[in-house]
Amino acid sequence: MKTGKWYETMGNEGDVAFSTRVRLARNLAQFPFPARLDEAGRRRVTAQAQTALQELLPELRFIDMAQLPRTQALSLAERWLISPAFAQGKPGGALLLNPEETVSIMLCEEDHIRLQVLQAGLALQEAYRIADQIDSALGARLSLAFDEQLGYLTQCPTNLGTAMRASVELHLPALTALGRVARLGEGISKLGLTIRGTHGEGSEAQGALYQLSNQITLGITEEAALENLQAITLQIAEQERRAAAELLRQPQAEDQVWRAYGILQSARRMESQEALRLLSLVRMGAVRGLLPVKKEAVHALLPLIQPATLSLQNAAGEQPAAQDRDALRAAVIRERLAASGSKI
Amino acid sequence: MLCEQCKQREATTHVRRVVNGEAEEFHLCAACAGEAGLHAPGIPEFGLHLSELFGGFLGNSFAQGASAAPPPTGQRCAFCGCSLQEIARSGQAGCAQCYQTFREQLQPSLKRIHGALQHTGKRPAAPSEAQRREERLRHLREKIAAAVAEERYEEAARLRDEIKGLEEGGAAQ
Repeated sequence: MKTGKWYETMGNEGDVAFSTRVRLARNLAQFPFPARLDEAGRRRVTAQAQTALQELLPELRFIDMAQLPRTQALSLAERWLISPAFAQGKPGGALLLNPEETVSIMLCEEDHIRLQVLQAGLALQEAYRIADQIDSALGARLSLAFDEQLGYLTQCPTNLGTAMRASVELHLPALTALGRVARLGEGISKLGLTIRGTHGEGSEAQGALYQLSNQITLGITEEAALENLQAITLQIAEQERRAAAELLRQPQAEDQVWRAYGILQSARRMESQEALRLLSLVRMGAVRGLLPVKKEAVHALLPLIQPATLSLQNAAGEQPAAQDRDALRAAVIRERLAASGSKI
Repeated sequence: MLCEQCKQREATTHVRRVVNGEAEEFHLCAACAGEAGLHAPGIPEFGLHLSELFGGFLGNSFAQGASAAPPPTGQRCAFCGCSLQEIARSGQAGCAQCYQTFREQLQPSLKRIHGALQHTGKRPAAPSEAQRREERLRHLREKIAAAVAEERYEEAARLRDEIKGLEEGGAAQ
């Protein structure tokens, strides 16, 4: 069942840090930004960037977003490889993707080039090193928009400077259950970082998944921004571990985890939100050694159960109706849990 | 209290932002908060919210006459034709040149967003002499092919000489 994708392994601090992303925004100096380009202009930018990038990295697959079936495009967004807006498939936009799905480069999204490196677990230095190498090689081939004062020039002024957005996807079920996530915010914003729920809005983050990222890009070096993120992630991870130990001592909380496991092993229909909520509990039970199930298996299920990605599991690759999708989701979860766990 | 953006409707959304330890607060009405992207559904994307707030705040500071240098009306970026008003409205610059053209007017908003105005991070390496020559050669070869195809032989001969010169210059180095 392994496909060699990054999310099938758990990286450093993998109990808490789901994944790491580093994104660099770059623009070609001689073209207006994407919002002021017509389709022909976007195609020219895309072609120039594509040539340079595929010379550097021949394994990159070129995907014309306007030609890509909708389910596949949405699945790419669900797996954080592209932005939801980019999945709309505006003509002239294209994606370059490596086979491991760790390097994804959006051409003519908000900026001409959005280079993203994804890694399992907490791997900020590694992800940045890869992004930096590609960017440096690219900068030697193409003339990039750069200003001595404002750094890399981007369509949106909030990205000026390093134009780097680094983020760590965190799973914080115990801190969420104990109502302590809001308290994390204070120290985080002092360092120019921000934390928000990955799914859903406000404090009610579904699946207890959060994204911690740098917000400030001008007047701070890449290294300093990454060090801040690294330090805060390690602090939060420690807090989550302590909170989990405290939480799982409560009989009710322990019972909830076992119940969630029971439902996922036997349910015949499973809506996406319910699946996320229960898998979050089971993931906590697995990484804390409470449940007799391989934590990697639960971990890999999280990206898989989202609507479009799930639909691609269908033999026919067609988009099933919502009802059938719920049945398919329940079946995929049962299968994976049965293959990885021992009977109770 | 009234919305700080439109100064007409009742403020219902409270925005608190801390940049480099300095807290800022804004009170917005539902409509202005919506315009600023604070109610945008789904996954917040790469600076989307801030970008739209940026547009809002920039517009706001013009309305108050608080901008460092009020923009000469009608001034447009010579490269892409974008006006400062358009940048303020969309929260997006039109091209790299816009930052040059409107540098002074944009600085107060940039300072509010980032808390700083001087880039300290990575810089692109200048292309090496050899890379620049390669690029020029590629460009000339394309032109010579077009000139030959269109039977513009005088131009083709001139291009051939230029290419020869560049190639010999490269070999000599």
